[in-house]
Amino acid sequence: MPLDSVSDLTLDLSSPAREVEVMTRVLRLPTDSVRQARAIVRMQLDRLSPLPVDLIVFDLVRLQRAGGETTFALGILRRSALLEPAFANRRIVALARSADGAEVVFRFRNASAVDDRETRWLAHAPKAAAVALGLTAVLLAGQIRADQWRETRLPAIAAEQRIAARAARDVRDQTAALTDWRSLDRSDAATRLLCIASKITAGDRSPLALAGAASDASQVRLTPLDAGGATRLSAAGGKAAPGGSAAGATTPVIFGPEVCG
Amino acid sequence: MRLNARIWINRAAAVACVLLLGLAIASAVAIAGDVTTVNAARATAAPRPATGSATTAPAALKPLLRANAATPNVAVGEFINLRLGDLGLFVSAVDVASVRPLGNGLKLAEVRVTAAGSLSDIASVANWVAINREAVRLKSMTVEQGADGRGGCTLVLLMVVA
Repeated sequence: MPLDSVSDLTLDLSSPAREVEVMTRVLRLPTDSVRQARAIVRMQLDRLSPLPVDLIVFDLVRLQRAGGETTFALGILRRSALLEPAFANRRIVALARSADGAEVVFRFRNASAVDDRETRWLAHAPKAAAVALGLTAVLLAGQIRADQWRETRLPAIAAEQRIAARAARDVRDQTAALTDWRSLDRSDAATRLLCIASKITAGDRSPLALAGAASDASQVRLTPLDAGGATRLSAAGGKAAPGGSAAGATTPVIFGPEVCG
Repeated sequence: MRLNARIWINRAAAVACVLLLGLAIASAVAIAGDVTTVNAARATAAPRPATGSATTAPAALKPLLRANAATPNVAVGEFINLRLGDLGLFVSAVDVASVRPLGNGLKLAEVRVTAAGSLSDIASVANWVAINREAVRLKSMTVEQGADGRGGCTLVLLMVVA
């Protein structure tokens, strides 16, 4: 917990804490980093302290740097000293001592201390936990419900999309089909073919020899077998196909939309 | 000691409170994610076509045959084979190119027929089509006459099917 006031940092020299025994030593270490120095000291603590390591707490304060070495002040305090009532609400116990001719303030971390502010805040913790539990329960239930809703809605939306796409395709197909059907309203290949046939046989009912015939909604194309047939077709209104001779025996004769229009 | 126990209980409650709040936030985010996913899917859904956009089939349409909705091609093929056979054509292939809806439960089948027959047989087919104009129309026709008077012909028919 961070220090929250100056009172945490400074120690009233008139208090009983002034009598707390802090053993100080001056160390020269080949590092400028307090963190590295702490790690070194932690490894060597059993040699540096006259007391067992698990009975003490220590702090390291950088004093000065000279050459490649840095001078640190090591303060060692009995762990039991932190249990004094004077330190019960101090998370950091700051003790000033003299080391290497300088006044050094050691800050020992008091893990068992409970400061007033923490106590005040923690008093609300059970109620807050109960509220948080209720809130979490409601939101978890909501999440389960939302998951179920999503699992049912997504397939439903996909099905709606498929139905809509199918309906759109049906409308498109229906429009195209009706357009195709209505394009043959006036005449189709059959009516046109019958109409042309009636024109051809109107004057001469004798059979007409044809090599081939083709018909659609706009024109009829007949291929006579002989020149007589071609003449007869021309007389009925047919025109020789482009590229062919009008008198040619196998030249197709075309009856355009103007004939039987 | 009792005070210390109380402190530790409160600390545990505080930790539990933080964890529960974290869980609550995660749940809220998951709910928001679900809603967003569904809304996004709904937004990307294709707009439903207007019901009035579909044109209705002309009342004059009279279907020549009733076909099973699942297999209209088979029914159309059998009908064409039978009917054009009666008219003198020897049908060798019937290909139903498409079956499209016309409305009112009717469908329009586009059928490509390959057959053998004479010009007079084709004329019979043209007569049959002309008589049944409300049900069938000849889109196109080609015939190539052989030396024996018979030839190969190809007919493209539009047929109304129920």
